[in-house]
Amino acid sequence: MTDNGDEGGSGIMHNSCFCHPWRKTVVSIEARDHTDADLAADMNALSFEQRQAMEDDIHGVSDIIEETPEFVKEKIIEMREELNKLSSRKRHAWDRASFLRPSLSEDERLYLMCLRARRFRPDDAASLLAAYYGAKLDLFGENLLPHRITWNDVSRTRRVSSSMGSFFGLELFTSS
Amino acid sequence: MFRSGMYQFLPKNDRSGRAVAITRVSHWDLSDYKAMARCLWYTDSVVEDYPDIQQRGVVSIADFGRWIFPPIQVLHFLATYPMEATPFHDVCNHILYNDSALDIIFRRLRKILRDDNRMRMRLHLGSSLENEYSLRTYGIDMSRQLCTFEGGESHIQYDGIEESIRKRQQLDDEWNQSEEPYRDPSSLTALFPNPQDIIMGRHKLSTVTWSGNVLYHKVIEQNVHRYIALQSTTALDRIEKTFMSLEILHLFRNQYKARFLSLKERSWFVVDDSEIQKKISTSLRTLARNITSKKK
Repeated sequence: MTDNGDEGGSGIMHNSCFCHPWRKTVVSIEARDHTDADLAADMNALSFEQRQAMEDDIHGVSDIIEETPEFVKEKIIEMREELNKLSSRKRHAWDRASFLRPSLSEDERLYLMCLRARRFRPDDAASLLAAYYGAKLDLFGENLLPHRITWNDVSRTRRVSSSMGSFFGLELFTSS
Repeated sequence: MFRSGMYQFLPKNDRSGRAVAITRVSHWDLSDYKAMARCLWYTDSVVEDYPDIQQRGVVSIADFGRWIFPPIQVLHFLATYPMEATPFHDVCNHILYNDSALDIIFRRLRKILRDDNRMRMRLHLGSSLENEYSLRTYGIDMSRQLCTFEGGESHIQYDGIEESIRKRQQLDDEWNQSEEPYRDPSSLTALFPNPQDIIMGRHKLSTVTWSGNVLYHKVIEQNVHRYIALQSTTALDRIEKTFMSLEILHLFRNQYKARFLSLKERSWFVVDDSEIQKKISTSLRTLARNITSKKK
């Protein structure tokens, strides 16, 4: 169903703004090819600058979110709430990391990174933080969980696995 | 793995300030998928240091070349590396390939994505030439990067990789230096426990797996038989037991450079000697009681 309530029929959406074609829905499958053709024709009619602006828009340049201190603060609070709503199994690694290094749970830079990565959607950002630390725990172990992972840590874990004889040797890692 | 240029943030951002990350899938070494996943995680975590990239996002380029992985390795890898843990806004994906089988797979994928216009517009599939053109229209001139597309595949300038590794190591060193005072085993407060430190007290999260606590329980197990052999009836034995717990305390402090830490009001504090001695005695006594009751 189109935004204006068309069901079936032509199903073609004459979208005045091709910058965000996904914001309106086109239903009928047979109409989609027409829409693609229209889109191509309209794109060809644009000047280079207009087209560039549209491409930038599509690729996220124009949707940089303005980060006022109030907005950021509010989103961080919401994210913390969402984090508490996650199951303890999901946020196990994050709980562990913030237990070992209590200052982590106050680190707004970390929350902000996750919020930015998920376009300030607090629930998605909370899931990302849990998954990010979950991967860190799985890949680097508990001892490195509260720390920044450095180049030496990555090399060292590779060396450990190599010395166990189950994987390729260190030479391959350093020389490849 | 890093030096093969299998995954790399290119040195120049595009004109909109977005970072450009290229992964050369054909250079992936999935025989050690965990090491591979570590390298990917580490490269992704670079974004932690760059707020402007966090804000603007990353343009991803995946060069599949002509290579197709054995499915079992891919499954292992996907089970190890959670794709949803990428800590940045993936603005758009460019997928390069030079293989007819991959062409069929990716075109099929594009059909599946047909209903998701947003995803469709952000996913570019095709040969290196098509993608080079596509990237150019989005302000990414590959000839200015350390990566070029020639002969149907991407080529990395290895000097550039060495340079970015050097920069990364420099940042790591700076961070290590800033953390050094907190790692000092003689310090009475700590931001975090060192691996050899022993975490004391009861917590919501189990401390059984913590390396320092594992070591502690091993040392207790090694000494418990000596403890059982001492009879508590004589004063001399009781003094001997006290010496034993002191000996264990000094072993941890001097040989392992370990601290006994307790969490109070979101900070780690070194516990005083009398309390540690009490803990060691209790651990020895409890284990000794368990062993003797089992024997009976």
